[in-house]
Amino acid sequence: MSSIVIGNNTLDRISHLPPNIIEQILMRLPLRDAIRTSILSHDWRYAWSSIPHLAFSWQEFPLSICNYSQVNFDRKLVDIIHQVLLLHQGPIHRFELSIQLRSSKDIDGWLLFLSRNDIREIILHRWEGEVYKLPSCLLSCKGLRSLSLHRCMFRPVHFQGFPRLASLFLRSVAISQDGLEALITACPLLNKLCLIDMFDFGGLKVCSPSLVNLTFVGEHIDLSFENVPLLATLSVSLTVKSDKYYAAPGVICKLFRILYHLPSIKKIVLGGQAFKVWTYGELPIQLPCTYQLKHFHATVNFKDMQEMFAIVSLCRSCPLLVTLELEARFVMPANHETPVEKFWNSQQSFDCLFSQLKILEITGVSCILELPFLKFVLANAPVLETAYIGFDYRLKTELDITREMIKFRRLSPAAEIKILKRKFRNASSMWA
Amino acid sequence: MHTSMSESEKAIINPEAMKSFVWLQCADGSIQQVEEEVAMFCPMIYREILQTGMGTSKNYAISLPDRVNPAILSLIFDYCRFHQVLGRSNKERKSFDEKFIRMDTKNLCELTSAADSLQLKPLVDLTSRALARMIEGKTPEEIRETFHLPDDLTEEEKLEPLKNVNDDPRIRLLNRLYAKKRKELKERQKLKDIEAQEEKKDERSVDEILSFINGEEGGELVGTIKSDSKGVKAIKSKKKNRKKRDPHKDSCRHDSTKLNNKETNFSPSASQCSETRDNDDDTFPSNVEFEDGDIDDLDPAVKEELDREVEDFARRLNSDWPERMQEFLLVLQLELFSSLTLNSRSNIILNVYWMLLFFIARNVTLQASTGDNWCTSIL
Repeated sequence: MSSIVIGNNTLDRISHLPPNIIEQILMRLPLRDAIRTSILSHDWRYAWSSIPHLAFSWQEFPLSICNYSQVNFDRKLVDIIHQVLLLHQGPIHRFELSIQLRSSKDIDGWLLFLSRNDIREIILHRWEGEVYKLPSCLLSCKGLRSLSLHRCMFRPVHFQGFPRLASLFLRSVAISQDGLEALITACPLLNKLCLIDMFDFGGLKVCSPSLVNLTFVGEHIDLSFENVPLLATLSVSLTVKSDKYYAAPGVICKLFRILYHLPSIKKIVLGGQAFKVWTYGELPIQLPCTYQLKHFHATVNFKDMQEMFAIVSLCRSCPLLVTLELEARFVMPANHETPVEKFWNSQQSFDCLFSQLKILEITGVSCILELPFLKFVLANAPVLETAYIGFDYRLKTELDITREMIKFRRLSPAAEIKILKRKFRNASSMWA
Repeated sequence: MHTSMSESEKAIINPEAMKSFVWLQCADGSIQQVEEEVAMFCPMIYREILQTGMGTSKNYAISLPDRVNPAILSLIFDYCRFHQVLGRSNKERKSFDEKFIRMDTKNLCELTSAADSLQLKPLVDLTSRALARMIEGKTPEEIRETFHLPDDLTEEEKLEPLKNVNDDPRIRLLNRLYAKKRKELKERQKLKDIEAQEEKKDERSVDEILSFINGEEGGELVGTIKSDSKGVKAIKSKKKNRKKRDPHKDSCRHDSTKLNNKETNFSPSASQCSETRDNDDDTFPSNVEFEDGDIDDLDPAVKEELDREVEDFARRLNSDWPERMQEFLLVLQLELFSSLTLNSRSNIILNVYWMLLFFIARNVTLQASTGDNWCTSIL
């Protein structure tokens, strides 16, 4: 009649699995389903309470209470989290809260609880509501290895840093420039840093002996590097609001100045207007040193000679370059004819130029003026394998450009030209 | 390495010389042999061979942990045999895995346990993922059925402490109804005599009303839906003692139609009633057996009855009905049951009003015509 209790309990295999397996099974369930196992049977009553990952996000905790008003929803979510934390036993290694929660007064209590429970990873994304001011108990989480914040306020005062922090993700976080610089420097194991849409900054000086990966997206500020011996990947996307280029006349442009400070750099991705503002200024005629750069992605304006010259200079100083991806920024055609053809024809080919280049990708091609660069590369790259060409979605017909393209001489016998599928809009592949 | 020619030659002479085998002994004493490279894929066996040198012959077989039995062992070796070949693509491995874990839950659990004792982590991950997939998204009853779990928590324990978290609508409703019932039972205990009298009075008055409507059946429990300008309310009447209900069910249906036709006050807008099914009559729970006069038996009987009815109803409905219908009927039945013990009608009305609003909100679509049949068929 009621649930099957046939004979002895030998049919019930799953409850007698070793606890580490049950924990693994419960960790693979969304949090809500894992907690629901507590009413299955006596053995399962508190099985869930020792899982070390608690994630309150829409995937893990699909609360079927979207019909409620926001206030009720808030209250209900707060109740749930209170109960879960109270009933939990053992360390909590990962805590995520990314459901909309209007009021933030309870988060302080939860963070205090977590700081006493060996928390290693905190993800706190507040999509709406007031900006949440992080309590000081967060600074006492000594075992923290990964921190991800969205729309919070962080004022670390007299802070010695997180001794184990390896990954830091800040998005729209209100923090002073000094505070952030101090934080970056004070974390000895900081490996990955990602700053998106930070506000109130004049500039940022990054000084971190362990940093390997840096991503910066936001308004154009004066980004500088002081001591980053291990930085291998740099991704920067800047939007320019004011006309500040941080380049005095006669000073070498930002891009090369930065390259000078990055001895281990392997990959650079420049989106938005980053390439334009960083190549503003003088370009080095004599190149002091070469760099180990292997992959370079940038959004460039093919009609701007300054930028084109910068590309060539860069390629000359990076003989190990393997991948070159350029996305053409759509610029309204200028009134006068830019002497593009003349420029490229006058470029000499150097010995080490494109010597290792294997993959070339040019996307957003919208007019014939962008082709001479392709011609230049094809004629000078001895080991080129594939050249991917993607057209701008606004282009009416690709036929003219393609007809021109197939006429180009190719230095590398194995070179192929592949046309990429047209996308609905110019989705930049670098940030995908 | 032997060529194929010499292999076949040698096979006749000494079949075991071609490949090296490892001997393994299960907990039950049976001894198996398996190719060395397959066995070495399991870290535990690998270590045993390297550290102790066992497994070379029948007498020195490596003894496996308790959790491994011969049938499961052969499954594990199928897995190892496939995966230890290096040249396979990820796609191949994935599709093999998908097919491999298609087995019943009993074997799956045993396989997980055995793989864990042999420290074969990829297989443990695969099987735990499969088990998690079986649990995800299911209701507790379904999970209990799948894994044959005993339902040994009392209703009380089920409601403690994680009321909100379980967030199962059925449990939420159960919570509320239980809470209400508990409260009312307490009140009842105090005002025993007075309530009993009042209850009888109520019953009689309602019965009087209904008797002339129903004609043959006196004092049936008939539910009708009265439509309001605002919402829907159900008005229920008390039920008299009735031991045999089945023969009455057909007449119930007839009566309700009669009722609906005759009654002018009660306009059955069963737009909020749920769809009916004929075989629903058979599933009618036996809460009918309840004696009005027995107030003393309420406490233990209440819980038992309720438990039984809930389970029974839920189980029977689980297979056929859409989920909403199950919940509605389950709760409605509980409500009816509890309504028999309540003294004030307003409570009933509020309860049912709330419940029906809840279901309206969940977009239960119902048929007008069948609603009447359904209502009476419940009773």
